[in-house]
Amino acid sequence: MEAQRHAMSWRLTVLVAGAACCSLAAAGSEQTRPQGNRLRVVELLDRYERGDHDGVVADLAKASDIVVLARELQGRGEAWTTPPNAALTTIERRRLVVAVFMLELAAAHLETDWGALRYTVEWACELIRKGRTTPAERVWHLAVVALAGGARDEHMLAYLPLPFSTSDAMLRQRFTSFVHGDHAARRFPDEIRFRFAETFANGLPGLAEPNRDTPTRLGREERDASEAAIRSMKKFVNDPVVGPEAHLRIGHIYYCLANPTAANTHYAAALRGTRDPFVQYLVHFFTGRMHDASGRRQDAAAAYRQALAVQPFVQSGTMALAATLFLDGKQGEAYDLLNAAFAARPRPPDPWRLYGYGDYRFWPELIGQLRSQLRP
Amino acid sequence: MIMRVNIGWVLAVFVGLSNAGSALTQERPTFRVRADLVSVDVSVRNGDLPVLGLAAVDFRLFDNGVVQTVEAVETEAVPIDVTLFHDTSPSLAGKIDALKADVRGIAAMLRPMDRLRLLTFDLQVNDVFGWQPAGGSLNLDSVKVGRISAIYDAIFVAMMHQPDLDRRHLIVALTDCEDAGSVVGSALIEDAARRAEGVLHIVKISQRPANIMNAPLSAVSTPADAKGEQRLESAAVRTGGELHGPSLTSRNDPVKTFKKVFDDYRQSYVLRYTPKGVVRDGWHEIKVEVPGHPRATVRARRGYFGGEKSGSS
Repeated sequence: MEAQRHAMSWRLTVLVAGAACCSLAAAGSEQTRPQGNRLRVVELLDRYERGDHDGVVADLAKASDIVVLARELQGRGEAWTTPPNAALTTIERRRLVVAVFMLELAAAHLETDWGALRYTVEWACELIRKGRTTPAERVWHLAVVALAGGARDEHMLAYLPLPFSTSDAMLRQRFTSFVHGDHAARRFPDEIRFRFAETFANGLPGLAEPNRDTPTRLGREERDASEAAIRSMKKFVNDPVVGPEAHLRIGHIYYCLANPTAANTHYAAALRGTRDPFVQYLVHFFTGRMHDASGRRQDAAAAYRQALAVQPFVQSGTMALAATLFLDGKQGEAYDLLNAAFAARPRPPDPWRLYGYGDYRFWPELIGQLRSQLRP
Repeated sequence: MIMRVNIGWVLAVFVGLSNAGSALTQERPTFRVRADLVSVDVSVRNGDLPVLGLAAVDFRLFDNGVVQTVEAVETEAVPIDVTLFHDTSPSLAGKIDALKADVRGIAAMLRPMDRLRLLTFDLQVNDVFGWQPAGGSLNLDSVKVGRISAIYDAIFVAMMHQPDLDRRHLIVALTDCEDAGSVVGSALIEDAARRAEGVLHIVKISQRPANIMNAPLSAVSTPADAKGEQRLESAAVRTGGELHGPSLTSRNDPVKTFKKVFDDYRQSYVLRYTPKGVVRDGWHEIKVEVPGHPRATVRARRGYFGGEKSGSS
């Protein structure tokens, strides 16, 4: 918990520094020119527009001069969207190409460069908002929310109090103007996932899950923050789209607060209202973790088996079940279970690993939709 | 005398090895009988040098205090399954190419009879290419910087491996020992070490701060584990391995440290015996002595659990 808090504060420092650097970078972006053999943004945009999505993404993944590339996109991207005598439909299509291309770039380097690229994502957001709203734009905003979740960038998803003091109005404005969830919600007020993502972000950094080795020890501040997160999340429980996930997330907070009775109530409600395997898996997995933390291994194993029945070979459930089997002296069964899971191809995504990344689980589907939209 | 361990309780099919001291060949034995057989990896060293040429009669092996008859001693000819676990936590950003070069360097040390498996993590523990015979080309394309630092999970997976009867298992974990986001806890790793059929060595690599300023945080919140490194070291010692910390003056070089560990391991002895005069089930404490070399350092696993079911694979 302490480490997580430390990491969050460290991250904040990074974002502030990033915001300041970005101001400087934006000022100099017009002077950026391609050099040597490095990738040229206009060529990449041309290829992407022609439908060479996989090829461009492969090139982006290999690129090392990411920040330069992003700056070049900011410097040249808008001009690329308005070729001479272009019709409005062409301009709108090209804006979408640039915006989606930017997401591809950010996704390819999400693990290492999000802090620098988030500003260009917002630049792309401004670009796409220049046109009328379209179904593709809605998907684009959902994809941004997914990536911001994947980057654990809560400041891009929700208005959060600035945890630092500054007299620099520009920095303050820059920092708070990046709440993408809000931009998106204003364009598409009926899209519940934007507001839900905002609430999710307000609940971050979240609590550590208690386990056998480390029981729950929470301070007053953490308990108050958790109660506030529960209150916010409860506003969504009756929504047919996000209600079950809201129940799941409330249940998880109660689990971390060592309140299994309340957790189980919400888990049961989540299961009643959903066919989403992500929610179903996690209800069973978290139930198993609660049993595990209380030393009820048989009950834990049964819950893990239910989770794996929903999504076979998922690593968290496999590992947790193997551990309980191992502790019961069934090493051979644990070995077979692990072997089967590691042999499974394709490797299934792990809901537990994705749980803290909000809507990031939707990224593959969303980028797939955007690519389909752009296919010539 | 330092007493470390390395054994496997084999409740399975085994080979009639009649000649003490004979080396197992790569060919699978054709004559098998069912027996409760225990095999113990034993390292005998004088300083940095291995003590070579020992036979069954040179060892005294105690199982729960009862002297046992060592039926077979094997050495370098036994093929080795090497599980290499390389930490790929976010602090490795910008160093993946160096990591891949290290892995290739390590793979090049294996003998044709050996096999290699590489574990890393991204959003999960990643078994990069499965068990691969030494000498093959390594596909390391999927190795990338991870979001998590699931060290316990990776080591647990490694320790669950049950090598074939005619092979042994070396686990080398290159890690900073700072777990974040494992499903299993460090206490389980310590416990699993008592049943592991392999020797665990942990090479502590202090990862210098790298380009992680822009990296996202791990999303899995697991409590800080103050006893983590201590338990990892304890786990390694229980299997007959050790934790190799960096020296005061230099960091651990993964390839050089692996070479040292691997050379020591392949020159160690595999003692096989069928326990007699002891209750089969439960914990068996093992002690190995080499009376003819009283000043030698003897390392073997500290014991094993008898009586549990073995894997079906």
